[in-house]
Amino acid sequence: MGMNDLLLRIRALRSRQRAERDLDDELSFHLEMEARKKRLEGVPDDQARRSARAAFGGVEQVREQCRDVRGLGWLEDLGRDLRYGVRVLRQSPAFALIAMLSLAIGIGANTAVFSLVDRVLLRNLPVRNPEELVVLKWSADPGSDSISRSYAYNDGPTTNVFSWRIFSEMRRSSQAAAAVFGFSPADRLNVTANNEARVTGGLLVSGNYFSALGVGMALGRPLVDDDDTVDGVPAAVISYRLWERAFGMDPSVIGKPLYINRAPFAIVGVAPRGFYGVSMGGFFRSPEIDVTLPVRVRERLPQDPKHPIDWFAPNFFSFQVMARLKPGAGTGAAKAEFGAILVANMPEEARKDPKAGVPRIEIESGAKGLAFLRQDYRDPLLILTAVVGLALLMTCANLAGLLLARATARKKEIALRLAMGAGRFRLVRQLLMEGILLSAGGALAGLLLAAWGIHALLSLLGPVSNGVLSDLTPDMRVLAFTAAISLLTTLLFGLAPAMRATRVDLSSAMKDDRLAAGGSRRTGPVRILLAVQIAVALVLVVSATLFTRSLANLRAIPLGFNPQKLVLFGLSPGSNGYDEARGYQLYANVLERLKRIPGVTHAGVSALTPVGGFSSNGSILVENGGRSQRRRMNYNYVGPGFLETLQVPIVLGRGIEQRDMSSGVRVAVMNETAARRAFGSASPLGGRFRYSDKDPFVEVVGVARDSQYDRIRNEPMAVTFIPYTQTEFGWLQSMNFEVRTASDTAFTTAAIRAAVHEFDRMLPLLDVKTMETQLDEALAQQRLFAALVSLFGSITLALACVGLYGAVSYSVARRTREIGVRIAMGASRMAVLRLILAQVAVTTAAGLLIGIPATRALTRLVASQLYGIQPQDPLSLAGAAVAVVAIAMVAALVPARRAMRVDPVRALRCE
Amino acid sequence: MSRIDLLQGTLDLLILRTLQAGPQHGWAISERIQQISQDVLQVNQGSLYPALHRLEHQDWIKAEWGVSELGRRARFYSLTAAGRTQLEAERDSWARMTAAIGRVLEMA
Repeated sequence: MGMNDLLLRIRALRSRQRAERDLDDELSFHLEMEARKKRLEGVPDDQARRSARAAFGGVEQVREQCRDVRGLGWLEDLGRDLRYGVRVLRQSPAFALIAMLSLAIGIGANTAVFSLVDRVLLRNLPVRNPEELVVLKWSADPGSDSISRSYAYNDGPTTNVFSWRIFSEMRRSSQAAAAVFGFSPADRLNVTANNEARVTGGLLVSGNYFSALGVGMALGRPLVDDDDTVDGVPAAVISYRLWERAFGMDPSVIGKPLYINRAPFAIVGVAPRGFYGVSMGGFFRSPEIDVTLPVRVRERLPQDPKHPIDWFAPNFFSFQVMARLKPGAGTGAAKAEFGAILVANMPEEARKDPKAGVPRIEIESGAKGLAFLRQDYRDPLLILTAVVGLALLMTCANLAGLLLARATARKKEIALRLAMGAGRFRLVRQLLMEGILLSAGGALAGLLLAAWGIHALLSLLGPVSNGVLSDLTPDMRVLAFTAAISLLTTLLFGLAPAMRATRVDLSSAMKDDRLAAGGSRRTGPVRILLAVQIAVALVLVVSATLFTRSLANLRAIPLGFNPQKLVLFGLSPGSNGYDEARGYQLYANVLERLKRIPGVTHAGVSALTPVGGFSSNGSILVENGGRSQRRRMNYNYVGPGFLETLQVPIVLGRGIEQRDMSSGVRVAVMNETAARRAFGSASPLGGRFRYSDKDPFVEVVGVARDSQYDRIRNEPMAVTFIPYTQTEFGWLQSMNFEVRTASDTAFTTAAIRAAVHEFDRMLPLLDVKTMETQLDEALAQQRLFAALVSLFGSITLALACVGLYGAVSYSVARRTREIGVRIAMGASRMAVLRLILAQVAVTTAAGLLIGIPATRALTRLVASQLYGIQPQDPLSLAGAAVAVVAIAMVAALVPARRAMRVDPVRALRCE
Repeated sequence: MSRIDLLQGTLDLLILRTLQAGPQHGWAISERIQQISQDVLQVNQGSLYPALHRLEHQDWIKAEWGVSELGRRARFYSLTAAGRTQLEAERDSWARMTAAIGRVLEMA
């Protein structure tokens, strides 16, 4: 359409009302002339008018066709449909409100979950052409002795670490790749910025890291190869977040000093907002990456002088390698090339060892970065997606039912308009417009809900959630998703009722249908939708039961210690270059100082904090009647008063005390399970064990009640408590403190920070939290599932009830006359009640028939997330089924009682 | 007398031809076609107005409000230059088609 044509149309649209009036005038002029002609032929006036109209045909149809010819019919119609839709909805505000609210919840929940799914599972790294990036891994078959196994973090034969020599050779000589870059995480760094010490994650990178990724800086310059030398200026790039938090986004931050594990660095750049490195927010269990350093500074950071590490030795594998392939290059050439370099640069001993196997390169897409976060979150996110998806589906089924019932109620009006010549397509569009208005309102409210929902989700996930997710707000992708699902929703709940409503047999519809029997044919689709709703409700109610019972099972497990009013934190003096003597002195001083904080009743120190997620285990040789027996054992290395602070009762002997810390006498306290495992029924007091034949004996001086160890478990763990000064492997470079307070935990936390600051201003407190928070974190995922699935289960069930109530009410209203006849003919009121309830029972039974197999299939998928309960648990299924049936019956009972009270005289007289 | 419904597409031709005599309103156009064809051709009034609006949209006819013979406001249609050309073209092809159909009916 040309520009002129468009202008014409726009002008025509503006003068639309005039054009419409003109058309009316023109047509009525015609009818008048026609009538006049008939009158002249001698036909009486009113008959003349009638036959003029008859000769003309459908006026409305002609008008429509003329409008279509003018070419803006559809635009006009749209506006008209819109106004009509608003008017219709305003006539039933309760319906509109409920519909929009349920849509808002459904769309909002889906948007919130999609935001997470998108960020964690779908989105590419925010770098230049991310699809060109690959991650290199390698493995060496065959067998369990292969060299790659000894470097693999998990149990498989594939590993992702390379030696410095292999990486350097790849970077130097690769033809297939545009760039090869390496990095190595430094999980916990003590970073002092602006005189404030904090713990952050760090990444050590090759000099070409930022240029190969194609990431520009928000401020300053990226690291370059010149920074990546031993003698170069020690440069650091900080994250946008650290710039915000530690420097208040001060633009003069470039060149300022940063102390990392006490070593000085100069800030050269600030990474762009939203860039968190190639691992999408940190590595397993480590904080997010806030500082990026040249890899060579490994040699500047303090090391334990007793166990120095040669990071750049040919047999030390610690570098992870990624490459950017040349545009259009396949992985085949790169694989061959990197494979040859890998084989040629393996350490001497591996090349000589026949069992080491032949190393092979594996190439994975690196577009999304490394997979840590994705692996951790994949299953929970998929479950959440399924739950909210089901809830939205449910909302659609519910609304489709309501709209269908409304359309049936408007059948006469629709039939009339079809008879007047309105096109069916027009009518469908008009009915759909109501749906579009509903879902548009729902989507808008849903977006608001989603913004709140993301916060709720993240707070439920707790600290499990990561820095990458902290700045999560709905963006264009998410908005597009929301728009798409609302449109899809509209089609799902709007189209079928609209199509059905306009497929009317005109002559029968125009007649009164009240006498028509309430056959199931007419209500069939409504009842199928209701059955589906009941099925979905059953699936969600069963899941909610499973998750809630699973959480209750976890909560019911006795902890064995008192979690209330207990503040936890950690210190890592080893990273700041402390040696054993100074380190142990610090632990002792801090412990003494903590006890002097007002309100603090006890303070303890330990290598592991209960339910902290970490464990330490090995085996001991127990002396039993002259023979020595090997026993598996878990350890915790503790200071004096640790068990007393946690309020773990000593059942025999004594706990670890101050005198054990500096004494040469090796002692240990076992918990009851450990004592039983080591000494059976014999008294453990005075019993002896050692770690190996060469080590000195350790004497058991006490037995403590069992308490939870690394995570909440049902079966007690065998744990032996050992003074932290008596380890068999050198000193503990970081320790956790536990502080029991009688006053406010927030006040105590502030006092603790100040107290530690007195000793060392560059020593940050790690993982400061209360024990109750730690317990919540341990159960974060279970709490999330239980809360969300229960929420959506209840909403779904409520929607199903509303739907059922509506359907039964409608059916009773329509059958009033039939019921009246029945009662007049002598049917008892109970028989009427049975009649109505039987109909509901059939629908509910159909719902269960679909729902039970669906539940059995779907709950199997969540087995890994359940604790102490089987996904097929018959009790949960039966309980949920009974609840669903009972609630369905209650929802049906109210309108059914109305049917019982039908007065036959009035029912038959009406109309 | 039996009436024949108009063949698809011939209505446009008849409207254009009718308007060659001068501006007319819709009712008069349908009356005239009926009259001249001696009541053989029956214009379906329902399709007359969409056809008029279509022709107007194609710029073959234009419309103006005027006063009818009985003093009432009416919409008068008249041929445009493009309409005249179009009429000649359609008339031509109609003549050729009827001639062709006639020949087939005679000879085949």
